[in-house]
Amino acid sequence: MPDVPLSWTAPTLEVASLNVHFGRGRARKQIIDDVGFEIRPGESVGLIGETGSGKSTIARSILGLVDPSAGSSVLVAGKQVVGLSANARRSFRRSGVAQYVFQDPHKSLDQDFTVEQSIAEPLLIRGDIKRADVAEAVRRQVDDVQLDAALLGRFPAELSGGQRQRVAIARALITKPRLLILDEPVSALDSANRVKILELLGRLRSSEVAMLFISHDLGSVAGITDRTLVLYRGRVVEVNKTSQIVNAPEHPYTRLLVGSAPTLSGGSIDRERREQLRAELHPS
Amino acid sequence: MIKTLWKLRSTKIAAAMLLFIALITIVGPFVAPYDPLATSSQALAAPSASHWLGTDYLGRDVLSRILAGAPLSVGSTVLVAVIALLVGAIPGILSVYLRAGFEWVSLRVVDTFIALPFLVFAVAMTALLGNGIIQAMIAVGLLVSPLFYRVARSATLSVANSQYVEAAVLAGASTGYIVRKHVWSKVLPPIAISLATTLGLGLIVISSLQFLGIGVQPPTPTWGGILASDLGYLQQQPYAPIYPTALILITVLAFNLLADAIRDAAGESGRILIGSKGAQANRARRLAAVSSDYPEKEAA
Repeated sequence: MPDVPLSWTAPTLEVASLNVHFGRGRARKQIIDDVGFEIRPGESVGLIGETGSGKSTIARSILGLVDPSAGSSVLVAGKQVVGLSANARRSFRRSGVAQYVFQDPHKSLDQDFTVEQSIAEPLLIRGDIKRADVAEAVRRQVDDVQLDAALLGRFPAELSGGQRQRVAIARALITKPRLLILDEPVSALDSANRVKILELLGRLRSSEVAMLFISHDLGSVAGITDRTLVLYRGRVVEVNKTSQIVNAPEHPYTRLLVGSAPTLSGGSIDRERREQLRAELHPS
Repeated sequence: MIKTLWKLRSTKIAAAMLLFIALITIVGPFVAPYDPLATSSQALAAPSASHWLGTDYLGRDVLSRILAGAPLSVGSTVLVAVIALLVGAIPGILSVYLRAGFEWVSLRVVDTFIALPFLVFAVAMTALLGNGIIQAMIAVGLLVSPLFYRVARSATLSVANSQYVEAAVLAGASTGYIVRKHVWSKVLPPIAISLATTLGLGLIVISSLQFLGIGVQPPTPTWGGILASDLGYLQQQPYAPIYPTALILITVLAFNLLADAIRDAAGESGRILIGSKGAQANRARRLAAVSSDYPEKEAA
């Protein structure tokens, strides 16, 4: 964590009045409803919610892959990224300020690219760095994510799931981003690799990188985030310190989410209690 | 690429057949024993030492006519495939990346071409532009082009929506970069397969037109035209149609075998088709991994 208290530093990400809808007229469907939050340098924020709650849509809106509704505001490192022209958006992306790690590294890496080519791609696209410097940067990044340099010439099909995700993380970090969005980065991994990747991400918290960690699994978020936002049907229903969310959730949905987290003996709350919480969520 | 393809038995068979056809096409007209248009009094003669495949109803040497007809039959087929490739594949890839207007217009044009029957359209084109081989080739090329359009478009769509392309977009990649680095290698195998298939299909269509006398005027020798004239004298020479038919059959079969071989060699990745050494190594390693349950190693 940085020495300066987080609240004193300017946020790396400021999201305000974020609305996203798909379709028009009668088919119009509100996906994200008035979401606002900020992440400061070195801060790690979790975004949890069930499948379909809009977590990935928020991430994609921040990155400009989904167009937010009029009136939405997303500031990344102080730059408004909503409503950018195609050229301005490309230029912003080439700066590498914001990076994204996909859920499934098997799909997010081109099977015909070697590990080295995949990691180097963002720098090569930027085009302002010499090839030799790119190769050096790739080697440094490989060390940082604790990947064996001997794997640089390998292809994704020859790597394990954990190694692939390290490659994806290295690709995201090679541009020295200020904002890193991780969309369920460990949900496609087995438990051993999950722990290793979470340890790797935990080390990033000591840097100035602001992290948005998206997950449907509270257990993954709990260990490496400072704050957590709980998303339900496109709305943020609870924001609090992660420890508070885990130990004393307030909103019925958060309590349901926390209580439904699997343990060795099943869910931590019984079926009757879950039904009660669902009734609180949908009073009819 | 050639090494990988050559390992397949179907490639070797196709190559042998195509070599035979290529020899006939290139060398044939120069080694023909007689003038293919010269008539003689020996009409409908049986195969003999002087006329290896006999003579036709005007006493012309059948072997000479078949050899002389090869360049027109095979050459026009190749040109049809090239026209179809250029007219179909390039707009197919662009339709994914250019504005929605281009996509809509190109899709409607392709739908229209698909709806038109081959022979009727070719007859209409030759009636409109004059009866010539170029007109016939353009007509057939246009009508075959939807195959390339659809194949190129569907392959491009599947790659364009992939996460690794999205990752490149998020890194600020231009459309040109994405097509060059990610799309092209994935689109090439289905296009190569379609090209080989189209060469076979094109020969059938061109021969059909020549059979009907469209595109090439008698007495110019073509395989389709020779077949048409032979069918009129089946009672006297029931074996005569076998020669041009066998050549058409061999050519179509060879191209289809080649298409199968390309599909087998390219596998899930097409980068091998553009000669990337890394991709060839990748494919070899992947095959090895599948066959020996390649152990996954975790570093660190």
